[in-house]
Amino acid sequence: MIDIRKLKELVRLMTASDLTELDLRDKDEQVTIRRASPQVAPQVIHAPAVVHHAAPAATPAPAAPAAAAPAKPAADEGLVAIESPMVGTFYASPSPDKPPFVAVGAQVGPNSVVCLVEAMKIFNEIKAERSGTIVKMMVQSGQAVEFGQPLFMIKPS
Amino acid sequence: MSDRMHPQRPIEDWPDALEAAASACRHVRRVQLLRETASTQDHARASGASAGTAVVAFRQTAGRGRLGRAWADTAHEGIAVTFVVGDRPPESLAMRSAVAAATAARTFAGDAPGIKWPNDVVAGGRKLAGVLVERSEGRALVGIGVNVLQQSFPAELAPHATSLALLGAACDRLDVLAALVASLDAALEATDDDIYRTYRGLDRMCGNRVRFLTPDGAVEGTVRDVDPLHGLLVDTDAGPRFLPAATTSVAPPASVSRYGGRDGSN
Repeated sequence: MIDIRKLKELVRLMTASDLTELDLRDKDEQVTIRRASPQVAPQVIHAPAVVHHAAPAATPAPAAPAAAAPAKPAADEGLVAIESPMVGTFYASPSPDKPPFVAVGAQVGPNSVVCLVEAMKIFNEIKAERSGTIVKMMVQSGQAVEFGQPLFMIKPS
Repeated sequence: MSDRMHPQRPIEDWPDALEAAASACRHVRRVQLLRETASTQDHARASGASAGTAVVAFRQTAGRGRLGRAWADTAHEGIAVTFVVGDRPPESLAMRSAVAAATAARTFAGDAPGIKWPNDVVAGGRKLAGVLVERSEGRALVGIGVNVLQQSFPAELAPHATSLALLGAACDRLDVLAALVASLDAALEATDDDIYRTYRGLDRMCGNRVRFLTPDGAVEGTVRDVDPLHGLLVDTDAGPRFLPAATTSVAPPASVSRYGGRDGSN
């Protein structure tokens, strides 16, 4: 799901980088943002994605069983989500025989590595991006994660 | 099998030869040679080596790889190197590192080596080289391990592993490293279109029956198409299935313990 916060961030990035068109799609949705010129406000086209992937003669894969609905941060608790920046597999520890990067209750800073997300055997370090305390781990090691899916909830400090 | 090994140059010869290989490169500008290290990948990370650095081990004792320690210890028979490169999208890094490793292997072993998606180098269905890429701090650590001189492997690896020597290539480890420095540089320099075409030309997965792990469970079938940018088309008993690259991994051999799709030799 692309929420308004994410959309604002995308628009900000487009403006900053002088991009005029951005096309994002995932399983459920497709978002196209176009800017005519730096003076004109971005136009947003928001439509359900028709095509998830282009594969010749492929039958659609069965829907993922009870895909975890991205839980929205509980604003009233003042918690903020650390979201996955990509599609891939979540790993809580640097390798199977090592302890997790963080546990519930851990204090993190913006540069603290909290987990790995792996796709095509490329392991991507994910950082907390802000200071706070880890309150909840939203996914289990080895689980597939979507773009924007909350991985941890943290209480900002 | 002959016990005679192709003569190997001593470590004293390595710095100059590696410097010479790097001097012709744009993306590899300096080489750090370690006589012995647990893991070139860990050393590169801990030392904060910047993009353009290649960390080379004369011997690597505890590289990371799911196929066990025996594989990970190069024991002066394999090579282990971590290239620190500027960050790129994951699929680009996967394609380029695999093409680099396969191209270097083919310099010595002819047409036999190819790529098993996403980035293993295989020959005759056995693993010859492994790649492990980690993105961190705006850079990527591209770890590549190649089996060079091994004449045999421990029993649990033997069915799954091969080496340049077993493929009939007589070579010095230093020459393989120099070839890898050059091929990695070329793979980073190539256009997206060129690297994509090269990758598909080196594919060794199409036509094979493979078991994959996906978020929906295991999927087994005959691979019909491998597109490193998007995913795999697999003919299963229930019909064709498209498996997205980002959430699919190859199931390890039944005899080998696994940890997701983690693999590689560094």
